[in-house]
Amino acid sequence: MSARKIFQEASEEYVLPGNSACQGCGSTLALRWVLKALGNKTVIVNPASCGCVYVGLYPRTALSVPYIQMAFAAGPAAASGIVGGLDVQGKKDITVVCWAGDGGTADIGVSSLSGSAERNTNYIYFCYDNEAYMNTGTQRSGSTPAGAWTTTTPLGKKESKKDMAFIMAAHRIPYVATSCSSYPIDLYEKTKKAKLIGGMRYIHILVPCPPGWRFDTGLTVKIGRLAVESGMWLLYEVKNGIFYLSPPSRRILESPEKRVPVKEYIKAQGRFRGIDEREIDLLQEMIDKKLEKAAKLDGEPLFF
Amino acid sequence: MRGVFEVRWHGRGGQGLVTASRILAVAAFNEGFVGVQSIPWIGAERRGAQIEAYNRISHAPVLLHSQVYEPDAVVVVDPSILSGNENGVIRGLKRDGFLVINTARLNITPLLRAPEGCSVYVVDATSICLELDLQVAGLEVLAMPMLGAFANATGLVSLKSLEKAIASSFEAGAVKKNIAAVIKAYELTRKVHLKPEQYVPPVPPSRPARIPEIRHWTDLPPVPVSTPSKGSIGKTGEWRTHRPVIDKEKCSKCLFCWMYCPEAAINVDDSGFPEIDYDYCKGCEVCFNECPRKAISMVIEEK
Amino acid sequence: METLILTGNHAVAYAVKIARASFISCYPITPQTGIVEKLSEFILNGELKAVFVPVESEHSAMAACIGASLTGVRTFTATCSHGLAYMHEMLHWASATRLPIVMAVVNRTIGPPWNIWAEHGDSISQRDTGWIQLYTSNHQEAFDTIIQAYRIAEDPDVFLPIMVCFEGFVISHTAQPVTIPNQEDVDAFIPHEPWRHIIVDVDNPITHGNLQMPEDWFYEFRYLMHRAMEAAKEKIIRCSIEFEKIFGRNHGHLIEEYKCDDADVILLSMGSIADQAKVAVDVLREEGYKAGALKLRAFRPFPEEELRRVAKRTKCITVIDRNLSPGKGGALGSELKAALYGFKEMPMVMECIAGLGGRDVTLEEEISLLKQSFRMIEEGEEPSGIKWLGLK
Repeated sequence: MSARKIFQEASEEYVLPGNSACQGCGSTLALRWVLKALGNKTVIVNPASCGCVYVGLYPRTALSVPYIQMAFAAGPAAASGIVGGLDVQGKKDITVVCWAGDGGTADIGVSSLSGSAERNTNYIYFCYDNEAYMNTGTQRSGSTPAGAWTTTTPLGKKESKKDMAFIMAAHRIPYVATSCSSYPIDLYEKTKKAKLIGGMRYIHILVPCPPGWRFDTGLTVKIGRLAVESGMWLLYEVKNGIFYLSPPSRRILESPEKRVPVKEYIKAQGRFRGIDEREIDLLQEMIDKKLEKAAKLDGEPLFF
Repeated sequence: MRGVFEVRWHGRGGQGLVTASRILAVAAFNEGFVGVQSIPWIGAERRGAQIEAYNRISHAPVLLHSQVYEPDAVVVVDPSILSGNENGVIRGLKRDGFLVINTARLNITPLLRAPEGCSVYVVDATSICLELDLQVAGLEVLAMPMLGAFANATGLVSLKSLEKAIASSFEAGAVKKNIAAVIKAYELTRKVHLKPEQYVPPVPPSRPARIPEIRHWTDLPPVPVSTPSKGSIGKTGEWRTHRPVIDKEKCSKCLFCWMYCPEAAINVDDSGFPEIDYDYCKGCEVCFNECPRKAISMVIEEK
Repeated sequence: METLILTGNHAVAYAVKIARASFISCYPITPQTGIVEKLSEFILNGELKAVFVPVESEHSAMAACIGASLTGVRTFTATCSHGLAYMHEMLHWASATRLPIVMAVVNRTIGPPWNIWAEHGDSISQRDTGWIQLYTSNHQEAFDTIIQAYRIAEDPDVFLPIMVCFEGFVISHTAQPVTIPNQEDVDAFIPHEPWRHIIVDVDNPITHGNLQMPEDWFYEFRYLMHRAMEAAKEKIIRCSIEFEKIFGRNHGHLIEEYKCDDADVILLSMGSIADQAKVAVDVLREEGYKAGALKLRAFRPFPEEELRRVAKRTKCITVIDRNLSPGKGGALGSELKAALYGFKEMPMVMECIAGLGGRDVTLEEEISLLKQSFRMIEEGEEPSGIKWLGLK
């Protein structure tokens, strides 16, 4: 689908301009497309994150759907409450959404998220993943990748990124997907698909962050594209337990000439300035193996 | 100097105001002032939005912890915030105070207003940053050279004290560049005389009410809720240093710019052309980079 | 109308059912679990039309109630002890969102060492969270107060969440007669009109919780909460009066006096100890002592004026606190003294700690404490420090 075609059905804006997001924010770009796919009959719960700030100052808001700001660890539980409250009143046509950052998802909110998934709560959880606590000024999170500088990992994080999408898939929920703010159409279509499924749905979106990742604000979309084209970030879906690569990621597997060395992704960001050539080679090897594995998994069940 | 000397910095998030205010405190301490204070202003705004920072400098320990209302000096790090905000910049500035301004290659002197009796100093800090490549994440660290301008204007801290403060505040690699910027600005700072009509009576120290429709607690509902509107934080077009301009000759109406705009600040007109909402476009340059036809150019804002 | 012999926990479950709470979320913790077990049963057999969300923590239980209450439905949860402590953050969230959530707190100690028995310290620790706290002394009062709580919490002048507290095991697991009123009378007493002040409504999209700067209105919103607490005093009193008119029972308003009119010594306490204090007073009266008992029902809002009015008439108030702030003493004793300070003709206050960790508080102890107080006023003795009842 082309941008021009998608404009015909998705011209309505639900994230209004003039908000307090940083210039070139990947998160607002992603939220814009999520809401275009969901429409106005949507209620959002937003646990502590950039999202609580970028909607603007009282008494105005940039969001034109109900938007409930919530304590850090409480997003999925509050969403469960809203789902239950609407359910008991017979209000069936409203989509309940939790819009949370990676810290709120992988760290402080993981218990609540896991509980809601285990209960197969009828809502869509979006993790917008900028790979650190950006709202508080770039501290490491469980979702920060190895090698990335943050203010609490001045020499680069040593540990690996927690794979939340796989963790959520292991809950055997009906729908899990990954996306990236640089692929609005992919995100739009996955969100539309998720909207039609009942039960717990989880979409994990990589959103580049100019101040936190240390790149120029105009490069937000480019950096996200490099993440996918290098295979550093995979786009896929897990539908009823079956793993499917999404077209942008399948493309780099089918046409290796479209693959970008991970070095390009790493070198484009200041946060990876501590990584040396040897480490980049190691990372490249890991990605090669990951892609090989992903190609084999395509169309196969993810777990037993 | 008697009593407490108070400073207010004006600029935008990402221009190094907080760091500069910290360095000024260290420098003043190096200079022999026992009472120094650096106060960052913590707000909701992000990179590019207007922010303030403050200093207090005194020969006695500073016991004041409230905000600075009537500064002795105002340092304007980014001249683009002056437009339409002349009174906001000089609010509370004392009659015999100092107004130190980055003129950024622009002739903004006619825009200035200053309280009667105030000394006005200018320097082109932007050019200094560009020349010395003093940037962090794509933004010029304008506040650093303004430290040199402040030192020249007020004579409160010496270059030597500033150098020592900078040396203790940065990694070795960054020290030289920052010191060079401060020295250069010190040398290039000039006192200017405004036209008589530009000298105005002192402006009251209070900020204008941010939410004029609420005046008293009796106007409040039990729970604070916010209603949707464009500009929930204001006219974010003011954050821009460069504006994207679409060349309709080259534009193929592919709408990639519309699709990728993080701000939803690009509309589509009746004939299918994208149209930028300059009231809110923050000037991030994503559209400029994503346009497949290179139909968008970034033009410096002349404010 | 029927009278059943019920445990405290089941009495509360019956009250929640008759109040028609339609959203319940809970996490198990002893000695509260009996409430939600019974409620689950009511939902399963169709006696209660409600959604039950079995969450993975108390933090989530309160978050879920907040979410549901935001859609305008009547919500309920129950917890105690560590569970209540774990909920702390969300207690603030519920009250500052001004949601009329009702929660039963089955008062229990907080460890370590592990101890599952009665103590008021868990809810007292939450006194500054902006919740109305009502303490109850027996099964019927716990039942009736749940119903009253919905009426008070949902009053537009109040809009604050309420904890209905009663002691673990002493009330929760013991059984006594509880009169269950007719459903129609309860429906009429607490008609459910969804609160309009913040409701999740896609046709009227609002954002809740947006940042406010120091110079904005945060401070004034807290002032409004304080005013709502103050307003709640009158509402609690009126609710008790109305309740008595319809159901014929009165457990006191903010406080309940028992033979205080001419009493020289008054025993002030909360919960089951306060019920038992009435028996101690009767014993002393028979022996010729002019003793009285005073039960505090509302700890928040704190009934300062009412306490002063009673205090003015007596020579000594002896306070039993089943809670402890190490380094200070009991909450009720401290707050009583603060309420009396600066007013003329105020009595002596004797502070006493008792019953921590579920240590039994006996009738004999209450009698002996009252007698000690009489001895002190006769001998003109000043109280020296806090008394620890039954300390070994």
